Amino acid sequence: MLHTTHFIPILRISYDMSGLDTLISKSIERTIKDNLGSQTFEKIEQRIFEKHGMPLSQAVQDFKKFDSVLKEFFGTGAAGIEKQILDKIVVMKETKNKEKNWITIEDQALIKLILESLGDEDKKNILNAVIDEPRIISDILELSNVPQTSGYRKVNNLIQVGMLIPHGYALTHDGKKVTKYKSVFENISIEIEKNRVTVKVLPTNESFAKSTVMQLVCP
Amino acid sequence: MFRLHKKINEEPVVPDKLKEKIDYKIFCVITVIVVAFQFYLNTFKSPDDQTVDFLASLIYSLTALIAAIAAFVISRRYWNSEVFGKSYLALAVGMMMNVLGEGIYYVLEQQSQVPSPSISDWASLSFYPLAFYHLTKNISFFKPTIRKSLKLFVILMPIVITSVYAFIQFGEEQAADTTFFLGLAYIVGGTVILSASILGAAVFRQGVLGVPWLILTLGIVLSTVGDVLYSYLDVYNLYTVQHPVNLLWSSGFLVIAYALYKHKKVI
Repeated sequence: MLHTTHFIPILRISYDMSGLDTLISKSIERTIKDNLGSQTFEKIEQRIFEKHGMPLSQAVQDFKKFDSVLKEFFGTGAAGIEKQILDKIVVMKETKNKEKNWITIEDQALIKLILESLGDEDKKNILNAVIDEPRIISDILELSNVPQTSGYRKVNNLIQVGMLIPHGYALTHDGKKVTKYKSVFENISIEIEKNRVTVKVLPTNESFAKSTVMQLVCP
Repeated sequence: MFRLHKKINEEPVVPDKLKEKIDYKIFCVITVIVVAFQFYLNTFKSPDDQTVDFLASLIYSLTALIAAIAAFVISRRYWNSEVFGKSYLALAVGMMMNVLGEGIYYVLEQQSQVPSPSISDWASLSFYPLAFYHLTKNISFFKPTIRKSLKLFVILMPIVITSVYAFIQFGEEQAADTTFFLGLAYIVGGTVILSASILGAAVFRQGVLGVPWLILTLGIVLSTVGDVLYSYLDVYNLYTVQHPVNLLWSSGFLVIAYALYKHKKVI
């Protein structure tokens, strides 16, 4: 007998998660809803939760779990839907330097999210403060000249959408461990051609390597 | 006390794998309904009796309407979604065109006009492209990797069935007239959607969605066999409204309605 579980999806950020996957999970949600409807998305989300005890956003980061649930519903069609979803989200661009993996974002909602983050002066300063090296939140706010009241809210928002990722710890003077954060992207390029905005991002090697979704797109 | 004890023992179990079973009782109920109705039609002595005409038309329209309503319910469930929403709406409209086609056929027959070939055929034939859109919209979204043998089968099947029919009918009538092409159109439409539905069932076969697609294929098989059989009967002037071929269409529509109910249940 199946039991019905009501739950509130939460976004847990841990060291195993890639900021890229967090960003992409939002696009997967939208792609499923747009093509197969909200009811289908809820069914998939509910099954992921009852089978693996995690929300979809987290299951995307453990792609095998997400894949297993899709297969339960769509059988061999799951492989097709995954490819379809990923094709809509990102297109990998070949570069001369193999180490640099520039990603062209195709998903309009994801583009909007990135542009909104960069359009906000405070958020842009926060991201600039951690683009080269990881820092603890108080240092980030100090370096970016963002007031603490709104600063914590904006940092949390960037963590939740996956633009900031945890990266190591720092010890405070009283011996407490405080998480350091780093930007998920090393570089972002925005091109505007006629009415089309193209956003290309260069993820850090670490976030790229940790992203199970990216490993699936470019094994 | 006893109740409390019982509740504690009833721990909810989350299944390792989702499963969906076909309820064969539904098929029995559908069979009993259509066969009983056919027996009732056969109690009338003459197939030209107006009541027989009316009842035969009524059961065809009613069963197609049930399938259309079921498809509308599904499309409303996924309203505005690109794949499920649009594809099920197309299927619903297609089923409604069957109802409309049958309605026009009946009216023309009552007015002693030629019911076929007529505008009723255009309405009925429009079911096929709409059903084909429904099937291909789903299949193309899930972009399956299809085995070569299956690909070959789904391409060859409509060609073989249509060629055999065309050869026999042409040999019988010795003329490629409107009736010939109309009969051919029904055969082509029926066999093409049958091929597509087999492909769909193969795509979803290992998932719970495979069950409704298998039932949908069965419904389309019944309906297509009905179309092919009707066309052959027409060649030899053997078709009457009391002919058992009517069973295939009615049961096909009801089976499709059951498939749509299953779809709603699983996802």
